[in-house]
Amino acid sequence: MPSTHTKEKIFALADVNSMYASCEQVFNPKLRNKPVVVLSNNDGCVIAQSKEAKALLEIYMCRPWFELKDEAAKLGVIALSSNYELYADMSNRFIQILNQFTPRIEVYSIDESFLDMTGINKDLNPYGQEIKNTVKQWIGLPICVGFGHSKTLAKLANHIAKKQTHFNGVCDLTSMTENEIDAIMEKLPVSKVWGGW
Amino acid sequence: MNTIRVLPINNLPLGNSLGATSNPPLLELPLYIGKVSAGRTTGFASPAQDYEQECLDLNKKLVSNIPATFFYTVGNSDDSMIDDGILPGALMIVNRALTPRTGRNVVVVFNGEVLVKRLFSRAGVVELRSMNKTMNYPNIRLKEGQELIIEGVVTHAINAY
Repeated sequence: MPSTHTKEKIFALADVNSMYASCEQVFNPKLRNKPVVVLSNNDGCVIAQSKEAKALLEIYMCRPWFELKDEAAKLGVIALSSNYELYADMSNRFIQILNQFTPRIEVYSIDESFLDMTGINKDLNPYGQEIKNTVKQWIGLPICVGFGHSKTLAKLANHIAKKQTHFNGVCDLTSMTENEIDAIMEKLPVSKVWGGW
Repeated sequence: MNTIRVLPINNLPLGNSLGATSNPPLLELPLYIGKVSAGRTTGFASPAQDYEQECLDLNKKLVSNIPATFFYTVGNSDDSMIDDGILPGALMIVNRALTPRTGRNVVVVFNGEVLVKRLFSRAGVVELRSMNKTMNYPNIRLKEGQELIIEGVVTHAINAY
């Protein structure tokens, strides 16, 4: 995607919440609404936490499992070995669904894609809700959608949509005034721009 | 036994290939279409023309919405839907994108169990019905405050005979 005329461009970032843990919860209803963590190969580290697990264990990501498992067991956390075949299959489905919403999509990782929304004559907030609801209905995965005039801003919008529940999973920075955007950004540490969880 | 055991695709014995993946492996079987020639007079037709192939691919035939379609297997002793042709051990094709209307067979999560049942919803009454006249399993009527999650609508069942 060429990035001349950055101002007029509009990107969306669609990102699955707790991808691996959410995939496990789709296929095993008994895991739903439970604290679930997914471990890396050979059960080395925690690589995903369901939102219920995040509420209990905010800082568990990437820490070695042997250090954590006793405490996690006491909290009733369910630990699962990773099943990459399943996550890849769900990722493919996710991308196929996103492809219906824009002809230009850039797959950024297993659980997030940029959608070039430039020139798509839609009211972005409802469109973002439609994307979110379609993904939830079709494959059961919860996602957030962020819109911005650059990929960096779309990613930041996605982060805001994830953390600030009143956005209901969709945050459109392109419809906000400079002042509104500044007010939101003031509260965010710079480390949250690109690459944070 | 009026429950149906349903396995997630990653637990199916044949592995992940059973999921309706984004790039389903093509297993094309030639579909022979009998053409009957009725006395043409312009020389000899190619003997091969009668064998032009259209391939039958079950993924194409049975899965209309690939990303929203999941396969579920019915438990080997679960007979609650046999009157609808969903036999024990059947492989069900389930489309999550379809609206679950009354009269459709649906895969649901109810009381933590995954079930396949006929959905009835009329005037605020929601029932899950079994389809087995012989065994006459009781209908499940939803009570106030009970949660029913409809996972998807069963579009096909493939039985082994």
